[in-house]
Amino acid sequence: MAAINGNNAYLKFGSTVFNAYWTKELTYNPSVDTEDVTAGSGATHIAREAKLKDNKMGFKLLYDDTAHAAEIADVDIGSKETLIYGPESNVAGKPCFSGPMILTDVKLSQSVEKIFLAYELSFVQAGAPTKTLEGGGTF
Amino acid sequence: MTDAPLQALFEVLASKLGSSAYPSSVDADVARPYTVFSWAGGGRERMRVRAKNARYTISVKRVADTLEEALAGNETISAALDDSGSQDYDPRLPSHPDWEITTVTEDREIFLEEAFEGAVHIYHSGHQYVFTMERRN
Repeated sequence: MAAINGNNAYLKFGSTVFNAYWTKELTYNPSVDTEDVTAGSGATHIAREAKLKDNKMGFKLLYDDTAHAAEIADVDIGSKETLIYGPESNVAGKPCFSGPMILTDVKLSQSVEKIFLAYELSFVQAGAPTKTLEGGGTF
Repeated sequence: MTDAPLQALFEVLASKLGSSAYPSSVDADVARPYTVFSWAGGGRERMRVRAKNARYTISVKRVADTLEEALAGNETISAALDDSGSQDYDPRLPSHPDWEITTVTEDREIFLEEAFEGAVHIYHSGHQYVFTMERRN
């Protein structure tokens, strides 16, 4: 047993596996809003219920000169594909997220200071995921 | 066996800067003017999971008996190295089989007037250069 520090992530959107190109950080952010359901007269404490579950993800892809076309084949804003993420690779039994996501935002920055180029991609949930990390999903 | 990135970088610099250029240090009896290049910082750099990258800062300077020679040598070095990487606007470095030097950027200036053997003054003029590199496989 050990705390995970590794970077051997598995990352696939549509038909493209991005393991070799992701850089810096990856964020996985399931969330849920709540609804005030406080009822009755004389209530002293607010009561809430969970609303519908949502999820956002984001990661950066290095701009690689020789592999650029293949690397960005599925990177087009508005694309709705299955996004699969495994923090510990895609070995059978390892944790897995899998669900439909829409690519909503692509940002590419270049600097005269010669900092490496990277696409910054943002995704939002497009439907119920089939597997989630917090739900115990595995490959 | 693949060369270490610093080995590859020194080989490229020795080839580019010519026979009067020396890595790391120079014996006291070497005739001036000469060029010396040495490690000033950096090493391997973590950019992604499945590729090897490095970023080095290397001091490159001309050492001469006169200020004019040293400053002129600095300009010659700058003309040879600045923006010379494979992804820069004017690529002109020799290729290395194991490592690609992708960018070269002139950074901090070096200038030193040295009292040598008591009375003789010699001059050091150059820059630090930042090299980004990626292994070819």
